[in-house]
Amino acid sequence: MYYFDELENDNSAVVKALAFHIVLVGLIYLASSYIELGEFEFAPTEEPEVISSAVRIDVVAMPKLTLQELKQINASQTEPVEDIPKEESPSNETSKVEFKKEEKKIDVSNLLKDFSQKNVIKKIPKKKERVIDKSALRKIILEGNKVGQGSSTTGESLDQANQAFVSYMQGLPDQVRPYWKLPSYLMDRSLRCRVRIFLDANGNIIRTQIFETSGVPEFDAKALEALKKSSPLPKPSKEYLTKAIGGAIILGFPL
Amino acid sequence: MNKIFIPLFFLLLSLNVFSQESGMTIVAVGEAEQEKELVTFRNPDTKGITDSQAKKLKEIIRILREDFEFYVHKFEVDKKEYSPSAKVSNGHFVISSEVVSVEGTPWLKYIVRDEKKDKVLLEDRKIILFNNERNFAHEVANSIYKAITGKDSIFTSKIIFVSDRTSRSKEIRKELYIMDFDGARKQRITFQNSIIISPAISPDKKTVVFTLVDTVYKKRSNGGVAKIKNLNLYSMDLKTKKLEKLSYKDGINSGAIFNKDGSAIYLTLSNQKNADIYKMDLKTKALTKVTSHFAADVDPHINSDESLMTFLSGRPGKAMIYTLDPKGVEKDVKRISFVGDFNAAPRFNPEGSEIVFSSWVDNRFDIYRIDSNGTNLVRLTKNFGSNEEPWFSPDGEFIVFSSQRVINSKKAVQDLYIMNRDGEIIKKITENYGKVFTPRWSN
Repeated sequence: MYYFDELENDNSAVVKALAFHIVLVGLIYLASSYIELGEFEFAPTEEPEVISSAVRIDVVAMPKLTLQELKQINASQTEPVEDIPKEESPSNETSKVEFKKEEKKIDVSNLLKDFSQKNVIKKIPKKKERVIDKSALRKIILEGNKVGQGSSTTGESLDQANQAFVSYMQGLPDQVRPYWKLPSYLMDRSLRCRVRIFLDANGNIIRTQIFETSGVPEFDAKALEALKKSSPLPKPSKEYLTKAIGGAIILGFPL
Repeated sequence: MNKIFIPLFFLLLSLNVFSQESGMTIVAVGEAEQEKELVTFRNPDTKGITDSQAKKLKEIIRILREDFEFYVHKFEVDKKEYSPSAKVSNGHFVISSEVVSVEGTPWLKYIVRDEKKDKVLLEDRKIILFNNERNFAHEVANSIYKAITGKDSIFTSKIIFVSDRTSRSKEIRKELYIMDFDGARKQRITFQNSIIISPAISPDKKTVVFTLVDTVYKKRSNGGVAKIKNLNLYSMDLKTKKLEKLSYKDGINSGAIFNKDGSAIYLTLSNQKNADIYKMDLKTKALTKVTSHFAADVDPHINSDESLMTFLSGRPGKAMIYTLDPKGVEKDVKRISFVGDFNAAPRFNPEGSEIVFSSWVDNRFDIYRIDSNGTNLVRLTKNFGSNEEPWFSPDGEFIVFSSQRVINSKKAVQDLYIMNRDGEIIKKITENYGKVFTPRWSN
């Protein structure tokens, strides 16, 4: 009792002891950031995952399309023209279909109307078909010209849950590449810069952060400029929205 | 006491939360495209020279502009005319020039400025060669290009080719010609009145080698004499026009190409009844075998440090492209092409990282490019006649090739074109010059 009383009275001793412990704890943490202590890590040193998958060379014929033609297709692919979800008219049309089907049984004269309206209905899926054709065409091009995406032989197999996020990520280079341009003096210098991006729910790039600098400020600035110009990126879906918002996406220029 | 420990506890907790932040994923955007830079040529200050000299100097500046227009993927040449002292507001690289007289001799002093960086990249002067303005213009253009990019251009390079323009009605004659890279100043080199095939030019541009269809008389076993054709290999000094018979074994002595220092050639010989590739030392004429296979191996080409050879081989049953290490016999043989009915004339870019070749598709030849490891096969030409004999420029940025158009069942034209390495056609460089074959681009 006497001892504790004395301690409580002696404020300077308590402060000294606390200060000593704080410094000690701080030192341990600082040391742990230099020395690898397994799970006892201080800083976020985890390496980001690089999207890659095993490919099997499967060239079956000489490519039909030229490089120039492929470039044009790629360029038109990246133009944000198709906003398919906005097309809400098909829902009206489908309600018409139902309506007609009911009437069909009642009156022959309505059959004619039915036929004429059928034509109208046919037009709508056509629009969608065109979109499908384009992506299918592109798929063929990629497969025909390069290599087909093989079932993994030696590469990393992808986590099923991450599949949607990975395919979203794989689409991003096509969005950014048209704006990724360098002056001649920065070409062929084997420079590399990686940029972490933070998106909002609409795909707008709201923040960029140089994750790995090339060491040449102008090169880094060009990568940031390409990102700025390519914003908004495609809308991230709910499954991986938190990742997209939380800065889980890093783009490598060029790798 | 708690006042201190609680924040400390939360501080440690928050650090732990951050350390768990993970799941970052990297995706590669890929190689950047090059931004085009505006190059502006101010008109030269021509005081102190005659009117005719001033006219020639204007022509020299026109050639400079024309040269830079070849690099259409890199530069945009300003079309506007600027007086010698005019302010250029939007240019990136601005070239100004003036005539200075040194002991009565007119020199061209020229300055290359990077306006964006506000920096002089080059300040040089050269004696104006009024009697050889093309050579002079290409030299100046090359020095400007080098100041901007740090690399040599194609502006001082030459192209050799074979043309049948001297053929008589029933007698086909194919002779060797040389011209500037842009198709200007075509000159005939050979007067053999015969057929020349597969020529090559030495790295120093002083010697050419080619195969000539020679008539050879051979004794028959019954005592008679047979008149046969044999493909013999010759070399010619371009200055003295002196001809030397390099190889005249029975059969094919053809497809020669020089190594980097011009001390040796690689060629195809068929005297062993089967075409194989050999290396010949040009001093000693000693032969070293490079391929040894029962299938025909032809059309060798090597990269600039002679570490890799590409060639055409019939070993899989069809003409396919292979690579090997030319330092040994059949060393590290690797098949590169696996598709195409008939592939022909594989040619490396200078680094040896890419191979350009022609392939028979839809009843015509078209040109394709593939990485030397067999990946990234791309098509470069289509709907452009029948395209053959591609050859990379010395900087690897362009490809010269021959293109044939059939006019009717009796007439066809064949001319040379230059495209960039991605298949964008830059310029037609021969016109009405007979049928033109086998272009080879010098250093």
